[in-house]
Amino acid sequence: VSEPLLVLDPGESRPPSEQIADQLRLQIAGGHLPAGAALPSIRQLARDLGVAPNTVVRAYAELERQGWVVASARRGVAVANVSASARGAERRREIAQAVAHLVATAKRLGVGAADLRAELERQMPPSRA
Amino acid sequence: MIALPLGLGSALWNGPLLLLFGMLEIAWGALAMVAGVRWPAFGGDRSLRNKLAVWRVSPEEAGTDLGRQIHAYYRSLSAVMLVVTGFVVTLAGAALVMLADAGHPLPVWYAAGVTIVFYGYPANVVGTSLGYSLAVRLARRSDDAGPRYADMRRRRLADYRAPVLRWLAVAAVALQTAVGIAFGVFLSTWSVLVISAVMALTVAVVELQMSAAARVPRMVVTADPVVARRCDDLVRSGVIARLQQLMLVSLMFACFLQMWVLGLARTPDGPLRYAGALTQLSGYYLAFLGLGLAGLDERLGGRITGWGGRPMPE
Repeated sequence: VSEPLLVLDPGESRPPSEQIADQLRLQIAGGHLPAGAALPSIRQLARDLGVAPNTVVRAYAELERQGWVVASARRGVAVANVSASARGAERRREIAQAVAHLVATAKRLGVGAADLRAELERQMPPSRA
Repeated sequence: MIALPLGLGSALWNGPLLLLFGMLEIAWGALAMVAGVRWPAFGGDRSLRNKLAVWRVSPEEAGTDLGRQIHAYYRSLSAVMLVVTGFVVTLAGAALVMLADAGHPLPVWYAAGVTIVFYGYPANVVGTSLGYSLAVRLARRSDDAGPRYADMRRRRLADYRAPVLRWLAVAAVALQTAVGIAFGVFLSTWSVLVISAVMALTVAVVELQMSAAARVPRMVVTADPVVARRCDDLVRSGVIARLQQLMLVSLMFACFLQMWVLGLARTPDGPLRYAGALTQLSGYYLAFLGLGLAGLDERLGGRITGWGGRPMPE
């Protein structure tokens, strides 16, 4: 019931196929979609999102080229067996990008590192072991 | 061969009766289609509120656009189902009229009083299951109603119904087939196997239709994708639960029909004398299953739905 959803933002500059590929890659890297999990069929995803099937084909082809998914005629598209180090590297890359964006925003607003850290700790309190 | 009893007299009305019922169903469905939102919805707001609460959606949504969307979906489903069922029943009626006209004994095998059971019910089952699958395909969501969102996993029937329920139905079919084969071997009466074949066909067709219902595109779309997904799953699990019950009731019907046919045969002493009891047991087992599922609030143990009466899976 609480599984993540793939949401397309029509206002975003990135094309839909890129949005689809990025969101799926994040979910795989984050371990929410385990190896072997069957991804939606091209038809299901295209109809649910209201996009052309070719858009989904492009997204899947890109993910397959990068090694995140495997496609077969019998099983359709499924999550590839990605190594923990590759998933870790992807997570670090995504986080680095997000933090770079956050730092740029903080600089524009004149917010210092201490305030930024405090806000980060407020939103993400350290877990108790 | 087992001799089937011929009921004459009013039995000649079998075909015209089915024609009449079929046309009434078509008219009823067409009226529901034309009346659209003014047609009374199944269950109403109170029932929808209870379902929404189970699916962790605020019951207040029942009175909003979302509630109207769900009601409209159910209305279109019922209307299409009624029209398709009407067509199938009308076709069955027309076939019986033509057969009676040609002097074939089939239309007069049963007296008019039991026509609905022996001819009308199978026609209704076929019509209802075809109608459901057509209705879920015809129902269209309004694309401008909200954000575009999708599941990240392939939707499967197992998301909405526990796979064990398939095998429970298959077990009943296997038992009846074994009984049919035993009759064929010992009494050279292979006609009993026709009923087993119909049962197997029913399971196969309804399974396919339930799979199709699990895969159709999302139809409920609102500003909040999470709420929309839960409502969509609610509607989808409802359709699948109805099809599953329809399948079990049809199998139960077939078991009792088989029992009736077996009763006509002169069963010798030996293992065959238990055939009737086995078939009866199978029928009660299917009735028990069907009734049990009715109490599960359309949550048949799927990965998403969980079992009725238990908390919704996280």
